[in-house]
Amino acid sequence: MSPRKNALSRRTFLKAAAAVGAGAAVAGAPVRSSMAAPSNAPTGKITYWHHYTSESEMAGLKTGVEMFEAKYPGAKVETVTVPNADFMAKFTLAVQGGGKPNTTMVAADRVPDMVAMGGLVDLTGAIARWDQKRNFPAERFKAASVDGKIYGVPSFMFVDWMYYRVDWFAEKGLRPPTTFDDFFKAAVALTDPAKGRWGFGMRGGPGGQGLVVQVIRAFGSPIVDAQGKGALDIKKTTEALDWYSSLHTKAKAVPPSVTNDSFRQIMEAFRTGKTGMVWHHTGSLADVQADLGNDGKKFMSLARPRGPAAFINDVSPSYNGIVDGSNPEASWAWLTHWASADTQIMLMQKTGYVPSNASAARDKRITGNPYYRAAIQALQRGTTAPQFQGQPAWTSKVVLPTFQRILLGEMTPAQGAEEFAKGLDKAIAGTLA
Amino acid sequence: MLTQKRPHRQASHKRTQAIYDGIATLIIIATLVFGLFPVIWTALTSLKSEKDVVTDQLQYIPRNPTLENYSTLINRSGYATMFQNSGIVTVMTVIMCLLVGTFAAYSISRYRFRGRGAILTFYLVVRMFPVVLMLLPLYIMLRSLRLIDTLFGLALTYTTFSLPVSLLMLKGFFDAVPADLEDAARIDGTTRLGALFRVVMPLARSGVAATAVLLAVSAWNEFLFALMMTNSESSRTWPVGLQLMVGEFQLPWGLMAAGGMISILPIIIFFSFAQRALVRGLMVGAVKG
Repeated sequence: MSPRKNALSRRTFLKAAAAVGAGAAVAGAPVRSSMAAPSNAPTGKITYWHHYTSESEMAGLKTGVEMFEAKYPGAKVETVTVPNADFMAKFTLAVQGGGKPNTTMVAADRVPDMVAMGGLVDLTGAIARWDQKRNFPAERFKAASVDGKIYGVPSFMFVDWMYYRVDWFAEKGLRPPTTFDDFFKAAVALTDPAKGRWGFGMRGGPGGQGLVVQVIRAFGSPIVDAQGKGALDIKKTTEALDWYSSLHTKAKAVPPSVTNDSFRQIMEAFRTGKTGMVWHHTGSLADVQADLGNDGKKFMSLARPRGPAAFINDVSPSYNGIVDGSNPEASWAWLTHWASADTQIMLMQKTGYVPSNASAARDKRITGNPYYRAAIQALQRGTTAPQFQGQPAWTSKVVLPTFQRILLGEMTPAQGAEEFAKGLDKAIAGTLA
Repeated sequence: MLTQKRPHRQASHKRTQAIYDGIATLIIIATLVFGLFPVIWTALTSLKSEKDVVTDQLQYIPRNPTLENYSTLINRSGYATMFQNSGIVTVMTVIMCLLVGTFAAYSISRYRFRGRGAILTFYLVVRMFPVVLMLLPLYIMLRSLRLIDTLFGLALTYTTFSLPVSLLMLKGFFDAVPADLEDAARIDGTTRLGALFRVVMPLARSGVAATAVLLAVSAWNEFLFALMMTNSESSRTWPVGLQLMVGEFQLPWGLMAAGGMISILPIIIFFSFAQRALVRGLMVGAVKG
């Protein structure tokens, strides 16, 4: 589950468009007023749609439900798993055709679409009177806000970081990298094709586009300006693409399969001892620990290295929202339950997802664990990925295929930068084919 | 001269035949390998532990064969129910489609009435629409009938888009049965329905069996509608369960392979029975000498 995976695929778009298109003919999006903080005790059954899938996530959810039902004996939660790729199609169908869940998980980049179809209840009033609001900095609600109204309560944070092989670094006498230069040198030093080892598990396949954009930002190029227009700096973008692609084209420090390597390939390569470093976010911690242990002897987590111009380490929240306000007491209690420090710490221990509640992030159970240190640091100085119209189209249709061509030697970084800029303008204008 | 040349020609013919046979055998073997390798690979993977699946070096034969994946899957909460649900929905779909499809196909095959051509065209056109476009109307209808999240509702959904296929297929098979045989039966005193069930159906049973197999495979493997029309574990089907195993942060290859093997098992069993009926149906032709 990741917000970066939420760009509409053709199939998903077709499904959602079919549902929305037909739905528009039979139902208009309802106008909602802000929900007040419920005063009655939560009772009755509520439903919760989510897209957790891994065993660690499901274990966290199960424990969370048990904690909630123990706290509110009169309330019961029925959870419904919806595959992430099909989530929007099913959600749209439920909103337009009836059968909405009481509550749902809300990925940050889906908020505008879900609000536009009348799928989320305005929580501004309830949040204003919520006693735990003080534990959530204002920017935590930013991605859940549309036209000044808040539609979600933060449940956890996606925090980018990297993993590195402690034992490989010790073998080579290397220190964990803190800058792009250190990172490049370490990747080269760790590479030994004879042993089947590569320094860095680069994500050059699906999903790798976000990392390319992060590298460009780390070299100091903006992506869009304040008006939302394309603002790529060609020189800096060229430098960024040259540096990043050189890990493969010149240094040969990434597996040769790089252009096909998506999440599963890069994580399996790291977990099976083919790569020494990999960039991802905290959500994969529990599964990596399952293979490489949690004693810090084989691997450790680390904040992303600093680029020549900027430290880019993106963080983004995941939310829970109310869809059907028919049981506001239990629904609100469910949302605030997942925002509580105890529940968030439990979830982090089960999965690796970082708490969005500031008091949870200060808890000894978090700060005392060396694996979480990098995430807590990243949370304090983390950056936010730029959001703009046409972004999913630009990154998936221009950034990834162009970068793959650079990796394959079919294009120079300078040509790639020009392609990026042209594609960005088209994507923002909505004319990208 | 002629008698001397004959053995030479025969030997040459035998050689040519042997070459053709060799090529044909190679093509058959290549096709078999191409078709069966994924199944064999899945079967072998299902017998490996997770650590043997994700390895530095590819292993074809499991080092330590285990049924762990199968037992994990069977014991996993809800999966036995999902398997059972798929079976129930498949059987209901096949029955509904064959029942309605048989009468519809027979009437279109045997009667000439106004709008007959239009009905056939309509069924063809319906098949041309992406099924995804039927999602919302069907969802709203099922919701009004309180059939959302029920097995019957799901089977009804499958029937709506499988019925045109069964109708068109069955019509073709009914067309192939000579009408004279029915006329003879009618002269002997049977009713129209009697002629259908006592004369036409036995002769067209190979076609009915083929249609049933096609419908069953389609209903058994269907994912989109099963996901959209059901919510609770008690009504979810096997393909949805398999899809839910795939997470962004994990792909349990061993479990998936075991799930794949379990899911093709009923189809293989069903097909083996239907195949017998297919062959029998072809052999017992009414017009054969």
